[in-house]
Amino acid sequence: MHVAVRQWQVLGRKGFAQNLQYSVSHMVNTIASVVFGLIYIYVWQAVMPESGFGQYTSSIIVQYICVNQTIAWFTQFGMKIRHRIAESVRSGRIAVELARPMDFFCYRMAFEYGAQLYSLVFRGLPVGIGLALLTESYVPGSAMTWVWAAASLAIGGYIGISLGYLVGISSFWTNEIRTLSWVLFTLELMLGGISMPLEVLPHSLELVAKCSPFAHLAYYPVQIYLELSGPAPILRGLAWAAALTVVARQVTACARRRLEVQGG
Amino acid sequence: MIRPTWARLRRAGRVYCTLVSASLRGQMQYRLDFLGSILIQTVMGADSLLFIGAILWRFGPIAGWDIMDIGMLFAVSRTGMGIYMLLCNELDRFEAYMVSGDFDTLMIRPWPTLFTLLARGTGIHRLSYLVQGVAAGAIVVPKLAAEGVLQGWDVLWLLASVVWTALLFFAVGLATAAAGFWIIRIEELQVFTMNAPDTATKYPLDVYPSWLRRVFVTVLPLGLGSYVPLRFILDKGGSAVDLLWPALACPVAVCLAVGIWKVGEAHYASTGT
Repeated sequence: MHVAVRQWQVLGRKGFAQNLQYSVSHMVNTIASVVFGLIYIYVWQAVMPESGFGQYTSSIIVQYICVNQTIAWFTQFGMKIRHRIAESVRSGRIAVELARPMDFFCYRMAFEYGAQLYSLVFRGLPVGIGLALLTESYVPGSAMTWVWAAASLAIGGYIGISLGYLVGISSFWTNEIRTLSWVLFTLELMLGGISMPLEVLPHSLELVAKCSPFAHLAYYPVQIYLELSGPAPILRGLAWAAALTVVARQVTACARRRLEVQGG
Repeated sequence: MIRPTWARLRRAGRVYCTLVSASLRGQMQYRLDFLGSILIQTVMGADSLLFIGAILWRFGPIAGWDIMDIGMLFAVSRTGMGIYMLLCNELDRFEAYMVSGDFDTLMIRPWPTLFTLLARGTGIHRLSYLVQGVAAGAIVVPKLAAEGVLQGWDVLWLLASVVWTALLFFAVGLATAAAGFWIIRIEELQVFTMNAPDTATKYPLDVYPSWLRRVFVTVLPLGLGSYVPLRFILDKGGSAVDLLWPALACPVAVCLAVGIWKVGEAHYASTGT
């Protein structure tokens, strides 16, 4: 157990450190992300009735967008696990990775988790601070809210990386994962609630979105942070994380049997 | 003087067709996979339309633009982008040339590098953008015509708007790619110069504050090709001059972008292969 935790820590640190070399390029991206956030905020301000809708006032919507633009850098944006696995399969490097004395799923998840933590600290937080300076921010007063929001976010990150892993591992069967990546990205945007609260969707679609794993990438962590919801969704998130882990490990076992290394 | 120029243009046309058809054959080796991916991308890629649709359904028109008006804006903007993606795919992935040093191979060809680059690959796998734009147009134009909003020459102006939008995408895409000659990695810059304005100009620019509106019609002028002429065509304000602004601005933008490309090319230092 201790060895597994240590491996997770080391790989996570490597994933974090690898990204430090792209700091200038990430700064440009931060500016672009702030502009994206502003676009959504201005659109919302233009359409929101003065009385708001449901539990959302105009001010809460602005905060919803700000927090989402920040945490999406941990749970959705900048995630490269799909391409890393596909590239390994294409180049044949995957044989070495599978031969390592460590579970392939854990290896990939730990590395990506570190990379996404970097993404949150150096890309997400500057976007959040930029948007907060230009608009308005919300800081929960209760320590428990911080704890629950952090837990929800940690689980959301795990779910996001697991979904990316499943798309990446499909490259064992097909070299072309572009379409599947596209489908995943679109579902994350549509059902995750990154650009709008899920209550805006038609009722049936809202229910589907709220039950899906995608809602844990953006909607639930923000709801908890803004104190619009209690910690109850965390349990559902944990269930999704466990289910995705089981599926990913099963698929990995099949992929291991299926592997054909190209080249000599 | 005229004859050699025409001969060179004809030769360039032949070379372009040969290279593009070779690229197409390569990309369409697996036809079923190709058609399937286009279909899925067309359906799934309409996420931004879902966002706009959900908002309009819930709250009504945005700044006086109802779902048909915004559908028209989407159609023009998406079709213009689709044409750019189809014909200028290699500009969009120019970072790979800079990082790998593959741009060296373009410099030894007997044609201008930009020509060779554009002829190397068409973005046929990104046909979904064009399909979405045309599909949206096919739904919206007849309805707006039936309501009497679109009349007579308006359809021609709409087609012109598509051309302006595609040209402006090309100008911004080319200038962004040229930045790669200095900074190598441009993927993040593309998010700023291409993706952000593309997202913004799917909505009427009236929703933004004046400084941001000015950015999207001058520095990153993608709104000039779609929003500005459509505002007048759909009776949302403006004047007939709005139809001419893009016609004046597009050649200037393209010439500026080509100029930046040439300066950048002169500064190019290979990363080695």
